[in-house]
Amino acid sequence: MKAPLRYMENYTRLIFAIALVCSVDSSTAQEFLPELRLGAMGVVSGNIGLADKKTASAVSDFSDSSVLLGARQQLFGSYRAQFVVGFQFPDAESQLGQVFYHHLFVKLSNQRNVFQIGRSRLDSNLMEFPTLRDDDALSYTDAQSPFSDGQNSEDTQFGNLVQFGRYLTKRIRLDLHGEYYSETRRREESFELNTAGLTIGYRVPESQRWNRHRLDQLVFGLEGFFSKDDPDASLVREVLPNAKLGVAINLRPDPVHFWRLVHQTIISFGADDVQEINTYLDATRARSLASFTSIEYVRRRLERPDYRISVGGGVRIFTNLDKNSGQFIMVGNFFRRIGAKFDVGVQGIFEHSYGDMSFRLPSNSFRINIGFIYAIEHVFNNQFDDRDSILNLEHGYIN
Amino acid sequence: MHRRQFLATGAAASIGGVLPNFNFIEERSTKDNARHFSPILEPIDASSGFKEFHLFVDLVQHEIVPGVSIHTLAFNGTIPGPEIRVNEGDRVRVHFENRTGLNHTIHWHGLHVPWRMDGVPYMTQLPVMPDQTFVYEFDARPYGTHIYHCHWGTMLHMQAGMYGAIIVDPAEGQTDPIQNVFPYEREYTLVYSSHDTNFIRNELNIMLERMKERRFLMQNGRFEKERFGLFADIDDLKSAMAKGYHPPYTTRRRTSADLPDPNFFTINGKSYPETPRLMIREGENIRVRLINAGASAHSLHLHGTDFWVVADDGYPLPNPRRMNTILLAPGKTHDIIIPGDNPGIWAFHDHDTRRATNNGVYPGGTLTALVYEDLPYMDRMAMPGMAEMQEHDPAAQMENASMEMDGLTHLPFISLDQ
Ligand SMILES: [Cu+2]
Repeated sequence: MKAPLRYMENYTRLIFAIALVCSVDSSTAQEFLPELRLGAMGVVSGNIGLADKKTASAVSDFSDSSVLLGARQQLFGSYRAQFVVGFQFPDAESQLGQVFYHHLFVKLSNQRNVFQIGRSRLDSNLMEFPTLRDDDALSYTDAQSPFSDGQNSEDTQFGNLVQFGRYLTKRIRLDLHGEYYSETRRREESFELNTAGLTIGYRVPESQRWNRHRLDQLVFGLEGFFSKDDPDASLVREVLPNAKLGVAINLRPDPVHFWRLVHQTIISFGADDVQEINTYLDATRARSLASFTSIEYVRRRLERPDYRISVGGGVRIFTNLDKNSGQFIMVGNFFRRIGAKFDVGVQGIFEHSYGDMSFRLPSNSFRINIGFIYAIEHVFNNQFDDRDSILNLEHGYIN
Repeated sequence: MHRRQFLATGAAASIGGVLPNFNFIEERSTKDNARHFSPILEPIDASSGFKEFHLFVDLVQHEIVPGVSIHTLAFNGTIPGPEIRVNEGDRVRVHFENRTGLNHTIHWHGLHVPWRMDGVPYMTQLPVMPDQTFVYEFDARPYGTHIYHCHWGTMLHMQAGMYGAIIVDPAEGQTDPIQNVFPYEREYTLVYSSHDTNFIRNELNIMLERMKERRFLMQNGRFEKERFGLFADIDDLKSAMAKGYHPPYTTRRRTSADLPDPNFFTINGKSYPETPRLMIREGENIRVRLINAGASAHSLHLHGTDFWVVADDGYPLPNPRRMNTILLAPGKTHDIIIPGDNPGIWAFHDHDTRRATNNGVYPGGTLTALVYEDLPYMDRMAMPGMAEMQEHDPAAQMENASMEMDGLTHLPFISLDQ
């Protein structure tokens, strides 16, 4: 979920840094109103697709539109508690129904530590790229889950997780997590884990982006999918590990002419027995390298974004197959801000698949989206600051 | 030895041995109370023919009451800023150093300074930008109780802490016109303000972030005046709008819920139970300088006696008026004389009780008390009638002594839950 001009948005943090909980203290019968945050984003586009000379079109695609509601409060000690619930509208034919609850978690955090449990964005990727929708280049930007049949992108992006994060410094965070990627074979919701990993990353907080650092983010992640022969088996049949490296560089950290490069490479070590791809599962288990790089230019005018142009390209190469196989993608887009948090723009995507991948996918496809993005957010009853505010980072943290 | 035995023994020996005498309490509370008044700013140099002062502003953390700290803008690190005292006719020079990432000025509220020294940005001077120092020079006049405060982004900067008292005493060798009528030895300065701590926090974050961007462009000579919303005249503004400029009041509208709605009300930077107390003795007059540096009016009411209003905006009133409730509007100063004619402990508080709250919870805010230091100790004991009981009944004496050991010995207690 992402507004195209998100990097430039002054005060919005769309992934809620926020909160939840209405409680009634029975001893005093006085209501304590927590901080409440409401966020919503509409992503609406018309699409034209051309795949191996056949055209297809969608008049109104509102997938990825979402609503988030959060509440947050100070606990009796140094920790803050947060609850977020959110849903989004999945892609057509996703088999997920009308809406999909992509967030539903509780988070406890203080200045140094973060504990999170529930449904949220998974660590299938490390970086966000400037595409219209988050799943526009999913095969290149996210590790592919062997638990999914590939029918929808939500299986790869959202799932249940248990996470402990620790800020080693103000900018370096270490995360240990266990995750449950949705298993297509299972009909019921599961609260087990089927993935574990760690991430360590250096990220400059958004509030400090006008400190004009070149290096904005450098993140490394390791993750393993633990798969079983069938969902109820007790033994793990195999572990499919992957390693990820992401980097974001402000090529020109200029407040008016802003240039930025984002890159991520994912190495999936795969299983040795996969030498050809006949199914989606084979593609997730095969040894592969997926890489995506984008360059964007943001023109800002009097402290707000005016327009953004970005181009990106990705490759996904299978390195252990009998046949030379893979795919690549090119994405270009232009978005113009025509009102507060309201963007209009156009995006074109060309994708080519070859070798075993062309059995499943058209060898050449071209898509154009013309769309609007409208993000709204409001905080009610604000009562404390975020860890990453300038005041807390540069003038001493206040609990 | 058990505590009870110890107390019994002590009590048998002498009451004075167990019960601290009133001087002890008087000393302790008077001393503790002193930290609730701003220190007087020492001149840095008197040899130049000016009374020279150094004022700086920095971004610091400030505790309003135990458990509530906020980031604030503070003159010389304190809220309010230090009290500046000069004599009428003094030549005054103030070196004002900006140690923050924001713009500021100083306005000398109530003083008749040269217009270029008045501190109104883009009207009398350019803002004092980060890391800059500006020198204010003026003659100290007129006599009386006045205010200094930042005049940049006043809605934020004043409630964020940039205010203080500047007091012009009579010219060297002259007697004080108020003292001539109401002889007094002790005086107190109470600077009132109100703060929306959430507004302060959010606006500071926003402005600090913007200023980083603006400073970078300014340093590179690429600054457009539209960034500060700065125009020569209405035609200039209109022509900028025709080229796509949107005034902030059209793009950053605040709803009424986003306007400052104070949740803390302070005297000398602190809310009850940390407000300064007014210490007095029987037969004494005290002079209290009331200053409202905030944006809320305060209707201040004194229990137990009436006070004399002796000055308005610093000017001595030819006919002082006697009253018990005074409206202290934003930007006003009033000097009052409280006569020590009714010994006791007396509340002095805002009669708009919404302002006697902390975070909306009563009691708090600007609640304080007039306290007679020479009130006999027994009169300040928590349990009325105790002295008589102790005279006749050693057992009651012990029971009451151990009750004291709970820490609740003398009035006024701090009370937080009513
Ligand atoms: Cu200021």
